[in-house]
Amino acid sequence: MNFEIIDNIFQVIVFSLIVVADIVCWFLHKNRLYIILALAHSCFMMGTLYFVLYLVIRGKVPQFFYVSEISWIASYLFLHSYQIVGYKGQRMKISVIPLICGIGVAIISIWSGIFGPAILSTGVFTLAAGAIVYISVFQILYGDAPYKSSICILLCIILQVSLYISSSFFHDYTRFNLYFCIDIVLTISMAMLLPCTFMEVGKDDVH
Amino acid sequence: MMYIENIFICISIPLLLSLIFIQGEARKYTLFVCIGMGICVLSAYVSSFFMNYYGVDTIEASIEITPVCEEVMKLFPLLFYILIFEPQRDQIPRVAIAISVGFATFENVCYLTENGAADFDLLLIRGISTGALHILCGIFIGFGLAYIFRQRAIAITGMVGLLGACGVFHAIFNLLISADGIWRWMGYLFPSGMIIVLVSVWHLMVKLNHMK
Repeated sequence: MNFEIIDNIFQVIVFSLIVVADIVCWFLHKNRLYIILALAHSCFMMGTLYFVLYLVIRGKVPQFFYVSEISWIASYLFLHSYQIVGYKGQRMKISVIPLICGIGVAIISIWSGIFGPAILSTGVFTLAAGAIVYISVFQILYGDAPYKSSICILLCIILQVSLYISSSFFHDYTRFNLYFCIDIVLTISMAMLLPCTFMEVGKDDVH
Repeated sequence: MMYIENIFICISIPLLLSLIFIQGEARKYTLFVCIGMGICVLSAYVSSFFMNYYGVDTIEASIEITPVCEEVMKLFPLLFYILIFEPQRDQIPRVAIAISVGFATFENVCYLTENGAADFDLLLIRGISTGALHILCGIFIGFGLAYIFRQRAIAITGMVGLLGACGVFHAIFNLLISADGIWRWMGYLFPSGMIIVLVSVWHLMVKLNHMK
């Protein structure tokens, strides 16, 4: 079987389970972070599901209008919303190191031509990735709150950008290669956001 | 050649005339159903534009282009309503659902005009599946916007995120029904199935909250 399909099915199964777990945690803790996390995970899952269904039903990858990319970008926008809600009330200021990291990721995203000729998608992803990296690095360096989720989110962005860059070097997706290795680690990193959130959010901490 | 503008005028005029004589929530609902129908006409134009621009066939367009165009177009009147009239939070899902109902109704009317009304089974399945899909998207975007507009900081990222989620959800449905066999049946059934799951979970949560 084509390894691309195996990898995508693995991703869909993992994210489906995590979405259910997110919703259960939201119901138990009544914390808005869990529902935003559920949206982020479900967007990622639906993007992959669309991709794998397209591959299975039509026997090729989407050609003209990349709906999966829109869903994956939506997932990162929800991750950004997660950061905003999670770090609400904490003071943020302009700092050099987070700024360099944020701009660096944004430049790499544009330079690598992540979405090819789709300027709007590239722009939205670049902005979201830059902002997410800035907030994550800021929280890791200067934040008062626990920063396990920040490390996880930062890892997700780095892996996602690496995945796009590595796709330029690999053209055979029928066998296991570094591209799939990065994709599997990305899936696990995204899934790890739930335990990180669980550890960081107290039971009475209702947003 | 299908003259959807003429069909739209024919269907919407009685509804618009009724607005003079009805009041309150019913008036608002009827108005947004009409707006939903109008949005369906406009999104057909936008989808056709992109279809010609990319040079794709109808099936390819319905899988890759139409879902995103339709969801974006449906968001505009809702966004206008939220930003200009600043309604109560509980009003937003109702309006989103009304727009979706109008959209789904007009889409079905166009389908009937194009394909005829002889095949009862197919029309029943289509009515249930596409109707459920648009309503599900309306529920999702309506409750989602009501939720995210509580906190202005996440309004833009949340809104674009919701739009992306609805777009891909709609695209998965169109992809499934474009296939044959079991995939098509899964496509027909999953929106209705999701509505049943959603309602069941909602009732369960209300019950559990009462027990607490």
